[in-house]
Amino acid sequence: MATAYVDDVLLVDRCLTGEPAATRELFRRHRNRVHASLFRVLGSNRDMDDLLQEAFIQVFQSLRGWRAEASLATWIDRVSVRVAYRYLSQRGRRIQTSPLIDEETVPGGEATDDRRQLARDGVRRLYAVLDELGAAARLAFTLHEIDGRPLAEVADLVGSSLTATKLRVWRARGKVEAAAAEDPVLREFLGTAEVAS
Amino acid sequence: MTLRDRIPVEQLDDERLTNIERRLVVGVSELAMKPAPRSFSALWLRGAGVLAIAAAAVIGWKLHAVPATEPAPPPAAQHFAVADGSKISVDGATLAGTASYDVTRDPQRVLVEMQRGRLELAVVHDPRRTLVIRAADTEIEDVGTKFRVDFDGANDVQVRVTEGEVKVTRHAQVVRVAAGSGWTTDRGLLALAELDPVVVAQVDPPAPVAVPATTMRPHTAEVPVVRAQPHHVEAAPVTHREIAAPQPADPFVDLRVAIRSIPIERAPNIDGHSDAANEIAKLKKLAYSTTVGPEASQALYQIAVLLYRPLGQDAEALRTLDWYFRRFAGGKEMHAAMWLRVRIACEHTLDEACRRAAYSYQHDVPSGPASEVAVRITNAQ
Repeated sequence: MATAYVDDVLLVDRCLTGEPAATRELFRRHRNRVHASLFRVLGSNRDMDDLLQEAFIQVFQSLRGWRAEASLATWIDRVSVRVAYRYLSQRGRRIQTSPLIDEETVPGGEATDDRRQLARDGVRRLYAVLDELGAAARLAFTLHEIDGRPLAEVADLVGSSLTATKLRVWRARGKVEAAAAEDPVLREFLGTAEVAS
Repeated sequence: MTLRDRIPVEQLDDERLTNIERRLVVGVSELAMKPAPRSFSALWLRGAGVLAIAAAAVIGWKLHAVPATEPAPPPAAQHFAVADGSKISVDGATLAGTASYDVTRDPQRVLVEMQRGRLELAVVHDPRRTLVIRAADTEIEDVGTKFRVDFDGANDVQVRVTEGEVKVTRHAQVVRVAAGSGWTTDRGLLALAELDPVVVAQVDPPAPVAVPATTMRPHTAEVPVVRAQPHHVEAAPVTHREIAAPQPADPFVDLRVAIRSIPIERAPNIDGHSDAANEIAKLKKLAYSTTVGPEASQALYQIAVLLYRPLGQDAEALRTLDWYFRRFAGGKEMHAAMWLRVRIACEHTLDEACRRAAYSYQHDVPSGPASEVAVRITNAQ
C-alpha cells in the first residue's frame, strides 16, 4: 500500500512536468476503472468516449490539487463522478442509453438465447427507469447497487452525508421496485440479481 | 448474482482508447507549459508592489515635470519608380519588375501602393507583419508566397500566384488565390492557364525616370525606415515584355480552381497566425469542456478550419475533422465539415484520399453547394 502511494506521488510529479510517458501511464492505470464506473452509472452510451476523455482532462487539469490525502484512485473516482453528475444534470437532454451489450459479454457462455434476451431487455429497462431519477439519486443508486461500492464510499465520492446518501439509495430503489412491479421483464431481471443492502 | 455481475461493461476498443490517450498527452503537454496559478498571498504581494511603484512614479512625475516626448510620427511612404527590373528588398520581401509604387512600413505591416506596372514578389511570410499590395481598390495580401501583380494604372489588376497563396480583397469580397491560380478584376478567380498573356501597362519605349537617388537601387537593397514626407515622383510609362509564366502540366487545373472557388462555410473570420492560435485555445475550452451541444460542435469544426487556414496544419486539421465526425455525426456543421475535408484532402493532389472524401460528400450531400465539383473529383482520372 505504501509502495503504491509513493508510486502515485512520483507519477503525479512526473505528470505535472508534462512528461508524456507519465501521462500515458496514469491514463492506462486508471482508465478501465473510470470507464467501468461511468458505464455502470450511465449505461451504454454514445458519449462514453467523450465522457472518459473529459474525466481525464479534468483529472490532469486538477492534478496540482491532489494533496495526496486520499489515494489517487479515490481522487480520480471523485473527479469522474463529478463529470458524470454534470452530464446527468444537463437539462433537456435524455441520456442516449443504447442496448449495445454484446452476446459475448453476457456472462455464462452456455446461457440460452432467452436468457441473453432477458439480460439485454432487463438492462435496457433498468436504465430507462434510472433515466427518470434525479442526478444525485441515480449516482448514489448506481454507485452503490451496480458499481458495488459501500455507502460510506459513495457518500464520500458524491460529497454528501452518509444519511442523505442512504436516503437517496432507498428512494431510488423504491422507484425501481415500483417499476419492476409493473414490468415483468424488469421484475424477472432484478429477480435473478440480489440487490445489495 | 448481484446487479454488478448482471450488467457487464462494454469495453472500449483499443483504437478509441489510443485516440483518447493521444489527445490527453498533447493536452497535458500544453498544460505543463503554462505557469502554475499563483496563490492569493502572492497576488496580494504583487498587487501591493505594483501600487507602490505606481505611486512612486506619480510622485516622481509631479516633482520633476519633464516635457512629454512627442509621439513617433506616422510612417511615411517612400516612392519607387523602377524601369529596369531592379530588385528591392523590403522586410523579407523581394520586389522586382517595372512599376511605380509607394512603400509604407511599420512594424506590423508593409504596404506597397502601386500606381501602375508589374511587380513580381517573393515573400517570406512573417506572422508578425503582413505585406499588402494595393492597386486602386484591390488589396493583395501575402500568405507566404511568390506572386505577380499587373496593374494598368486604372482598374485592371491581374494577380498570378506561382507558390503559396495570397488573399485578394476588393469591394469587401475576399478571395484566396492559391498556387497555379490567378485572379483578375473582371473575371475573378481562375486558372493560370486561363489568364490572358495581356500587357496591362502601356507599351511605350522606356523613358528616363526621375527618381531620387536614394530610392533607386540598382540591384538588391534594403529599404530604410524613413520618417520623411513622401516623395512624389511621376512614374514614366513602363515597358512590358510579356513573359509567359511556366505552366505546370496539370490536367486538373480547372478542377483545382473549381475546388478552391467553393468557400468554406461557417469559417471564423481570422487570418493572422497568432490570432488563430489564440482563437483555437479559446475554442478548445468550448470543444473539450462541453461534451455535447451546438457550441462544442461549432468549436471543434472551427478549430479544424483554423488549423487548415491560416495555420496550414493540414494533417492536424484532418484529425480534428475525424474527431468531429465521430462526436457530432448530426451536427449543424456536418456538411461544411465534409466539404472542408475535401478541400484539405485535395489541396495538393487529386489522389485516392481526395477522391474518397469527395465521394463521401457527393453521397451524403447530393444537393450541396459543392456536389457538382465533388462528382467531378470522384470521376477524375
